[in-house]
Amino acid sequence: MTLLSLTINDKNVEVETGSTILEAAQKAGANIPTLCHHPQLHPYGSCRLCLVEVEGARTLMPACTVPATQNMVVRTDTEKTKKARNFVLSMLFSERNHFCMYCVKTDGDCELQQAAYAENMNFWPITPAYDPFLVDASHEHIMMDTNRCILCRRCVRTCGELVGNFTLGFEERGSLSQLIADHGVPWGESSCISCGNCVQHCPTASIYDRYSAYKGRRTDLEHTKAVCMECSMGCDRVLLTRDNQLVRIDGDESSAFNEGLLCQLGRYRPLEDKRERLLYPMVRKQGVLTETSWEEALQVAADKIDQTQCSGIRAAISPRFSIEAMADFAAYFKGYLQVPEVEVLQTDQSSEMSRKLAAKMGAFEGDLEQLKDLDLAVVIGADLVELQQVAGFFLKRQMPNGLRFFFAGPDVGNLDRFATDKIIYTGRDYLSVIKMLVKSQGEERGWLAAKLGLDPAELERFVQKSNESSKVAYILGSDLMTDYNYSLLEELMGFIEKQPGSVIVLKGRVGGYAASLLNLEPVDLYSSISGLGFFALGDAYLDDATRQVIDRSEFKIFCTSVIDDQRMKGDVLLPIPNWAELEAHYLTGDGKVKRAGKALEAPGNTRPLVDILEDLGRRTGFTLKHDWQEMLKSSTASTELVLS
Amino acid sequence: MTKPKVASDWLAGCAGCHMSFLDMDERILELLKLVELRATPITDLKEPDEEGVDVGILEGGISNTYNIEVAEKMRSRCKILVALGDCAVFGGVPAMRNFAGADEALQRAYVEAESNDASGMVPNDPELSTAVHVAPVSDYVKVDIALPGCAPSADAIFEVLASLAQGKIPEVKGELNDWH
Ligand code: SF4
Ligand code: SF4
Ligand code: SF4
Ligand code: SF4
Ligand code: FES
Repeated sequence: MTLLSLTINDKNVEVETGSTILEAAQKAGANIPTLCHHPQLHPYGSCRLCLVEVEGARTLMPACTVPATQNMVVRTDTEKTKKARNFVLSMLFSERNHFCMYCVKTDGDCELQQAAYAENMNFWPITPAYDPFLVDASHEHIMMDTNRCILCRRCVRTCGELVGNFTLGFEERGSLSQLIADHGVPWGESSCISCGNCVQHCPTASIYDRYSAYKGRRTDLEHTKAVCMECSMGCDRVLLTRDNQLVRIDGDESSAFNEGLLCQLGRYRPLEDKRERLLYPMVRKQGVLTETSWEEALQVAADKIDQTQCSGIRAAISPRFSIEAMADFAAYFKGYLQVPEVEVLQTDQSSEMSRKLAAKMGAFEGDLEQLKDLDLAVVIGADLVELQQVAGFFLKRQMPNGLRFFFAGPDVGNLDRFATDKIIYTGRDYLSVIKMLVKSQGEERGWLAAKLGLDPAELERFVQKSNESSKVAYILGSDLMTDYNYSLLEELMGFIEKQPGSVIVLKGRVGGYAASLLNLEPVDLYSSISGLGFFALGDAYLDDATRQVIDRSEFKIFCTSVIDDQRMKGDVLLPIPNWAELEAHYLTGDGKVKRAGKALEAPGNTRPLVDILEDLGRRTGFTLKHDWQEMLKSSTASTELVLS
Repeated sequence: MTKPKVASDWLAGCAGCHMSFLDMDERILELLKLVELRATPITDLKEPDEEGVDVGILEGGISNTYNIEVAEKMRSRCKILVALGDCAVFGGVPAMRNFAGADEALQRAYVEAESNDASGMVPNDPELSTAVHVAPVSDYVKVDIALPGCAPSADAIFEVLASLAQGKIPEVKGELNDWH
C-alpha cells in the first residue's frame, strides 16, 4: 500500500491511498463536522457539512467523499468553511420542522443540534416554511416523523448496505424528498424486519424507537456491554439502563463482528418482555404454593433429590443460560448424581450433530466472520429469518453485488429478494439436494434437479459458475443437522473437505453449542422418567412440547425468573436473576466465549442458578468446582474455541 | 452614571421565559443594581418609554397583527433588541399552528373543543387583531441578540442582561446556547 502525504491545517499526515480527506483529517487530529457520513456506511456526500478548503481547488470540497491526493493542502477551519457550514445548517433547519424544545433527541443525542451548537448557531438565518411532513406511526417498534429528517439517507443506506433489506427509500426530489418504506406503504405493513438498525444510525429524531423515547438521552443512561444471548450468533450489544430499568439496546458499534448491527430479537424482544417476576422462593404446602425462605425451599429440594433414585430424576436446562450455569448443571446432575437424562430444553440437534462430526473430523467449522465476504453461499436446512438473522444480513447485503446463492430448505423468507444469481429450492428433500451437489454429474444431476423442481440447465450453469468461486461458505441449519440425516451429513462433509470454503453450522439458541460441548443432550420428548423433574427454566418462553415434558414429572422443581401458568404448576419455585442481572459468559456458535456484563439489579430475593446448585451440592454431599473452562477444553468442539 | 433601562414584552409565547427570568431569585436584586427595569408584562408600567430604553426584550414569536405592532414599537424604542426564548428566536411551539392554519386552529379551539358549549363561535370583534403565519420575531424586526431555550435558564438570562448592563454585547454560545 503506497502512502500519500498531505498537509491538513499546517500539519503533515501520511495516509494510505484511497483514504478520504476526512480520514486524513481524523488522523491529523482535525475535527471536521459531518452529518450524512457514518463510519459503517459508504461515503455519500449529501449534506455538505464537511466542506473544506483545498489549495488550488475552485470550490470547497466535501471531505467525506473526496480522496486525499499526494501533497494536497487542506484547511478545515477557515472563514470560508465556517460560512459554508453555517449556510448548510441554515438550509437544513429551514427545510423541515425542528422543535428542539420537546424533541426526543434534544440536549445531547441529536447530531444536527450538536453540529449547530458547534458552529455557535443561535438562530436560524432562514425561517422554515412550516409545511407539515409525513409522520408514520404504523410500525410496532419505531416512530417515523420526517419533520425532523435531514435527507442524509443514513437509514436508507443502513437498511440496504448493512442489513440488505432495502425497505427504505426516498420519493420526490429536492426539499420535498420523502422517506418511505417500500413503494410508499405504511412502515408497519412494509417488508421491514424490525431490526432497528436504521434507528440506531439516524442522526436526528426523524426515526426513533418507542421504548426509549423520552426515557433519557444516551448520555444520561448507563451503558453495559453484553453479548446478545438470543441466538448462537452472539452479536455484541450495549444495554442502556436508568434507575434499574432497561431503556434501550444498541448494537455495539465498536464490535468488529456485528459492527453495531442487531436483529429484532436482540434489540427489541427483551424490551417487550413484561412478564411478572418471581420474587421469593415458593414451596407447595397442602397443595398450595406458599412463599417461604431460601433455607426451607432449598432443603425441600435437597431432600427430594436425596430421596429420589437417580434413575427417577430428570434434569433439564434452558439454552438461554450462561456457560457457567450449564457447566455447573452438568457437573452436578451428570457428573455427581449421574442422572440418566440431563438435557437442554431444545429440540434443535445441530450442535449435537456438529459434535458428532467433530469426533471424526476434528474442528471442521469456520468462523461466522467469513460470512461477510463470500462469492458463493450454500444454505441448507437453515432458517436465517427467525434466528441468526444477522448472519442473514451478512448474506443479503452481498447479494446485489453478485453473491451466488444456493438455498435449500422449507422457507427462504426474504433472503433471496435481491439475489442476482440464485438457485432456490423450497422443500426438505435433502437427500436429493446433497446428491445433486455432491455426487452426480451431467444427466443424473439434471434429473435430480428436475425432481426438485429446478431448471436443470440453470442448475448446471450455476454449478459451473460456482466452481470459479473461491470464497465459499456452506451454511447448515437445524433442519438438516439431525440424527436422521447423519449419514448424509458425513457424505456432505467429505465433499466439502475437498472444496475451497468453509462450513458454518448455525446452532439455534445461544446456549445450544455450550450445552452440547458439556454433554447435555437435546430434550427427549418421549422420555419415560417421571419421578422428580429439576428444570432450570430461567426466562424461557415455553412451547407446547416443553410444557408436556415438564408435566410428565410428578415433583417439579423450577429455577425461574418469571411466573406463568406452567411455572405455577411447580412444587418448588426458586427465583433467579435474569440475563441482564448477572455477569456471565456465553459461547457463540463459532466457539468464542463472550462476556455479558451485569446491567441491572435483580428485584426481590433471587439467587443465581450457580449458587443454588452450589448449595444443593453441599446439602447432598458434593462440592462444585466451577471449572467451565476446563470442561470446555476437554470437549470435542467442532470449531476452534476461543475461551478468553 | 445612569443605569441602562430595560423593558420587556411578550408576544406569542407562554410567559415561561418571563417565569424563567424571575427564577433568578435573589439575583434579581443584583440585576436591579445594574439596570433600571421599566415596562414589563409583570410590572405596572406596560409600554416601553416613548423616549426609549437601552435594552428591549421580547418573548414569543409573531402570530397576529397585534404581535407585529408590539414588536415594532419595542424595536423603535430600544437600542438593543433581545429575542428571548425559542418562540421569539425560531417560532417555537406556536409555529405548529402553521401546519393547520389559523382558521382551523380557531375553529378547533372555539367551536369544536369538547369543553365548549354548543353556542361556541370564533370571536370576531373588529377590534381584535388578525392571525398571521407564525414566525420568529426576526422575520419582522431586526433582532440584535438571540437567546434561545424553552425557556432559557435563569442563569443564561442573568448572564446576558448583566453583560448588557455593563455595556458588553454578550455572545450566546457554549452553555448559554441551549435550545433544549
Ligand atoms: S431532531 Fe435535533 S434539531 Fe431537530 S428538533 Fe430534534 S433535537 Fe432539534
Ligand atoms: S430519517 Fe434520519 S437517517 Fe433517514 S434520511 Fe432522515 S435524518 Fe437521515
Ligand atoms: S428496521 Fe431494519 S429492516 Fe426495517 S427499515 Fe430499518 S433497517 Fe430496514
Ligand atoms: S442474530 Fe442472534 S445474536 Fe445477533 S442480534 Fe439477532 S438474536 Fe442476537
Ligand atoms: S458528511 Fe460529508 S457531505 Fe455529509
